Amino acid sequence: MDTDVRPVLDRGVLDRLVDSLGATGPSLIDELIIELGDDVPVQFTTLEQALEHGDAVTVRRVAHTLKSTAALFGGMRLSSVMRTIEAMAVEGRLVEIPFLMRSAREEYAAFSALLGQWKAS
Amino acid sequence: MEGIVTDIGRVLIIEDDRIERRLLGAIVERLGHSVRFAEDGESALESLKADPMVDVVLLDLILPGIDGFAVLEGIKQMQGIEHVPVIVVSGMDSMKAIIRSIEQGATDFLPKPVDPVLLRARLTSSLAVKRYRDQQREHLAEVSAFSARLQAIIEGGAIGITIIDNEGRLVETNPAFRRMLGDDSGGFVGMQFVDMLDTTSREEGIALLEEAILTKEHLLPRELAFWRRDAVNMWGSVSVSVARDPQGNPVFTICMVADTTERRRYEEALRRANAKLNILNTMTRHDISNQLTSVMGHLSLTQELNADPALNSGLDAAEEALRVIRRQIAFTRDYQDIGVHAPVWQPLRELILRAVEPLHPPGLTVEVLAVEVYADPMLERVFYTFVENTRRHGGEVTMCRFSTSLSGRDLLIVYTDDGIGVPIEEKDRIFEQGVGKNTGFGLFLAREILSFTGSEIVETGEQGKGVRFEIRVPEGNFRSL
Repeated sequence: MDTDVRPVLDRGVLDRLVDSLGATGPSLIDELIIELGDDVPVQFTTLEQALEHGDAVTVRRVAHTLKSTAALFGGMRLSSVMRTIEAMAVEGRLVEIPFLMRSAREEYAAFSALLGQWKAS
Repeated sequence: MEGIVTDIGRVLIIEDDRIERRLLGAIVERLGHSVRFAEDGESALESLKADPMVDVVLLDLILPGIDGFAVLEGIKQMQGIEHVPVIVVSGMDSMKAIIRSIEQGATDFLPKPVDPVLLRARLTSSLAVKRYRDQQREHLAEVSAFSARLQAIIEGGAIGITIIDNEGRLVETNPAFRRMLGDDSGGFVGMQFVDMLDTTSREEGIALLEEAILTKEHLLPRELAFWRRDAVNMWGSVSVSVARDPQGNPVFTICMVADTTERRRYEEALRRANAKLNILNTMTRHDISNQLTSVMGHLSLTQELNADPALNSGLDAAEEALRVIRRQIAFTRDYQDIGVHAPVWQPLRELILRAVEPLHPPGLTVEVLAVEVYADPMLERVFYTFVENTRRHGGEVTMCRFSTSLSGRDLLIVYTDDGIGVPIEEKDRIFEQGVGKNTGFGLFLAREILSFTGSEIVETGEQGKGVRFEIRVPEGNFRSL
């Protein structure tokens, strides 16, 4: 059962971000959302490869980056999953992480869809 | 976002994630700052080494290669960069990470995701810190440079300097001071200043220190005799100034000593040489005068006995030539005394009266300020010459007047009469040697006497209405009685 009450996309975060960038804000955020769409799948792949190789440092670093990037764009649930993965990597619990990766990909799919909607609006 | 900042800073963003780097850069640029980037720790440190012109660093902690803590440590060890504020911007937001960042010298910690409003506030505050630190460094550099210059002057100068505490003890001495007194080993500290003086100068030395503390005014240097370790006295021109606290209480006294021993030796040698020359002059003049008297006696007898009118003009010419020689000898007597004795303070009114009364000047008035004038002891001769010229060349004179007035910071001493005055064409020449109707030396001597202490004389009278001699005495060479 999904107990995470945080939103998949916190629109307020995105709105404040656009606000802080002035006139160039909307176009820059649009551009960065496209980059995000290209980047996140690559990061997931890197993370999974690192898991296969037992490279906790890379797992931690990639999870840390994805946690921040997702939060920056209002993807609070994805950020939360990545936080858990980062913590597990720090504790060396790499074997438990593949189970969370499925959840991470699902959260990202939902987040990405809502980002597309936000962008279109 | 409201309010673009007015203090434009140069910000280095160290962030490995391309998207976050761009976003952070855009927010910071939007605030008006200039931005440069580094993608990892090593390139960040290299960038700072190559171009240290940065006002604030935004530093992520989790980086490929060396982590943010190592970068922070590197920044704090880099000379010229160590004072640049570093704001840690990290998603690693455990208390441990925050404390470690601050302990390693971070100015601030900003958790990710970055709140733009919070970032602006932190940047503004960090820039203010940077500006304050820059000012402090500039002031420190100025103070250091000034201190180095001062140190060079104190350590390398020829002036002896010592600092004296309120009990009169020497607290510090510079090398020149120690060399002057014959001990370069760092001695004298703790000794009483007056014990450094020869017994003949102790009273004056004590008075000088007391006066400096009491008057709070700049005092003229005094010449004091110091006792040297090698038992040979040293003479020094001593200036003192007192350092005071904000309430005006003396904290310590700075005493500066210029060695005048050599100068005094030269002065003494010169004085002796002058004395010898004067004796020689006097003896020679005396011998010539005796011979001259003898020649004049014989000439007078010859003139009386001479029966040949053809010889008269030749004898008269010989007599006139002898008179000229006598006058010239008289001039050498007067001139040799000028400048021989040191100038002295002389009360003006008494001096004028004493000088001119023997000449019984007609209608004399002396309306001068109650002042003393610092001049050659022969100043009296100047006033005598004025009245003597009036008597000899002034014609029907009924009035002679001495007066004074102030002209700027100078004193003017004016002598006038109502005689025939000086022709315009002669005004510039009357002070030259040999020009004049009598000996031609009087006004030349007057100008020489005055020039020894920097006074000047001009004649500004009007022909037919009388003479007007004007003496300008410079500031410092006259004072109220």
